[in-house]
Amino acid sequence: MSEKLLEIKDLHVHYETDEGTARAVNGINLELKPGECLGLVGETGAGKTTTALGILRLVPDPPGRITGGEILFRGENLLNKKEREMRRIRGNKISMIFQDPMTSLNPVFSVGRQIAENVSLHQNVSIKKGMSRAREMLELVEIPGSRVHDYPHEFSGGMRQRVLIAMALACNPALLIADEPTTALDVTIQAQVMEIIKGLMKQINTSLIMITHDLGVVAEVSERVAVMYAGQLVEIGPLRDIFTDHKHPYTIGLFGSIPDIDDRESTRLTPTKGLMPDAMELPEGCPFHPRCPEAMEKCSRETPQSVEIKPGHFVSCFLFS
Amino acid sequence: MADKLLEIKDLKKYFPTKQGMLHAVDGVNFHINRGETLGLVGESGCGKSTTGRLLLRLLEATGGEIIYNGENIQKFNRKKMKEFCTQAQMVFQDPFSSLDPRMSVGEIISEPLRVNRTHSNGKARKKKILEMMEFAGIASRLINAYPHELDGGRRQRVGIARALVLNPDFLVLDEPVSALDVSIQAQILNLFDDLQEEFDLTYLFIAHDLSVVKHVSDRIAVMYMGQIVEYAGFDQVIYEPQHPYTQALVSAIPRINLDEKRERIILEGDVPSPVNPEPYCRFYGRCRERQNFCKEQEVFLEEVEPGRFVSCLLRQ
Repeated sequence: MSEKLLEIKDLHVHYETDEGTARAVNGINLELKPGECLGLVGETGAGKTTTALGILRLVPDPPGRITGGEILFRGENLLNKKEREMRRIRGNKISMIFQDPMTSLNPVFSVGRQIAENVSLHQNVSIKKGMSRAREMLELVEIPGSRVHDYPHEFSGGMRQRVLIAMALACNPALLIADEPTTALDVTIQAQVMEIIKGLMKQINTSLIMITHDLGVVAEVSERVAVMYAGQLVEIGPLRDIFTDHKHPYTIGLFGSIPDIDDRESTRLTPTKGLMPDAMELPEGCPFHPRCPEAMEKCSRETPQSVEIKPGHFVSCFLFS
Repeated sequence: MADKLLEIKDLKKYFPTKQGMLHAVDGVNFHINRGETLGLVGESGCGKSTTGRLLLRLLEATGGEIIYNGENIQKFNRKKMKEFCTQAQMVFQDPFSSLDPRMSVGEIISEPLRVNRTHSNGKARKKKILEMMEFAGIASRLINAYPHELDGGRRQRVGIARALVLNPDFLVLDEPVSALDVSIQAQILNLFDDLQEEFDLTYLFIAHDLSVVKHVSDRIAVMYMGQIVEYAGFDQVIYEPQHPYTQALVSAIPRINLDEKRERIILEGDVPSPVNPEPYCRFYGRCRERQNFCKEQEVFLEEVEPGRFVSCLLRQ
């Protein structure tokens, strides 16, 4: 058996609306090894969250539909699973943490009860046993186990996010998908949560897909980084390659947009002009060509394939093929 | 000597709540020189937006003075206040709720002209609107568009054009880019840069993102629970922070430069409640360097070296 934990092949996710079809994810290929941390970055509407929901088969249907591709988890295609089988995977083998810690917790149950419910469902143990696991998990995210009977409103934003992390990891999942887990938090609280995530990743052999728009957060946890634009992966490679030797014109514009606090001169930013296209009206050819400073005639006709320019560093751009 | 455009002295704003007085802004002092950008940073709830609103009298202060061009604006009557409003304007955080959905782009930008009864000639007004749209980087074809037709970046540009139409000297920018994606954020930051040069503007730039604040500011004031804890040139604050809170804040920023890893200071706990705070250093409960004497007296902002103000007994 291969050492791949997750393999996404040519995934397409569309949203059918009255105004037309929004092509949110268009042919994504991605692999993840056990224990690996992958950062998935891109701006609003790039399709990051849809990709994540696709993996868990949680794309709201209707209007969303997975229209093509395969998602192989330990060699088995999740798209062929029955809903009953998927339920056994979600929260058990693959867990997800969402952006907003308040709406992801149920306000009428204690946090311990919510963690215990997950454990008892998936591991076939009593709620009582689940509660002791909940206590253990809370300690792991540095919340006193004595708070197991407290309700979500009694916790601050950063602690709620830690509760969600505890819940997501309670069944020892093989894969954790974290969708903007620290975006809603202040920086000093973000730092607390990131420390916990980093520490846990070292302790348990869980793979992580970290979805974020914040390249600084990506730099902290990821070994590899995938850059998404208009439903496609434009560049993917080892962390250092992407941060110091990015090749795709979109990635160059993305890094040119970020004020670097270590740049003492405050050099003028060099963002890409224009806006990301609407998923309903994607341009022909390379989705980036209307904004690309290096666009060629070919770019508006054909879609570039992903090319390996260095070991493990792939770029989807005609400049490199 | 630099020319002070605005100076605030011991500014206070308390809100009565059921639990007691909420000290949103509690004795803030700073000044802004003509033509410079002062960055005001802090985490949510520290009082930075309230400070911005107090400066333009969108909220009335509980105490303290706001001196603009040598005059105390709190003593202004209605007429003088209207005049002040032509000189000082604000750009808001949320480009979705700060524009009237029933007004077109042209109407939104020209509303300040209507209120102040200038450019009453239709042709002159339209010319002015188009001029402002060009400065703000909005295509002239959008003059009759409504806010819902625009994306966040363009809406923010409309808000900027509206703020600039009366040729103000001073702009309060309240988290003007935090609702935007990074590439749009960069476009708007460059726009602020260009406009400052073009119109000789003075900015108070309020934000929680220290990387962004450092990028635009000449000097930075760091706020914590209604008070300024450190206030100095941007390089002093970012590269040699002195107050323990500033040190933790700077160290907590996720960095994109892989080779500049620093030791991270993780603060314990959360920001305490600003309702009826204790009369000593607000940072005491989370400070790594706290001493017994910190709890025995109040602490005020003091100049510890030329141009650098710190509010910490250990550094004074």
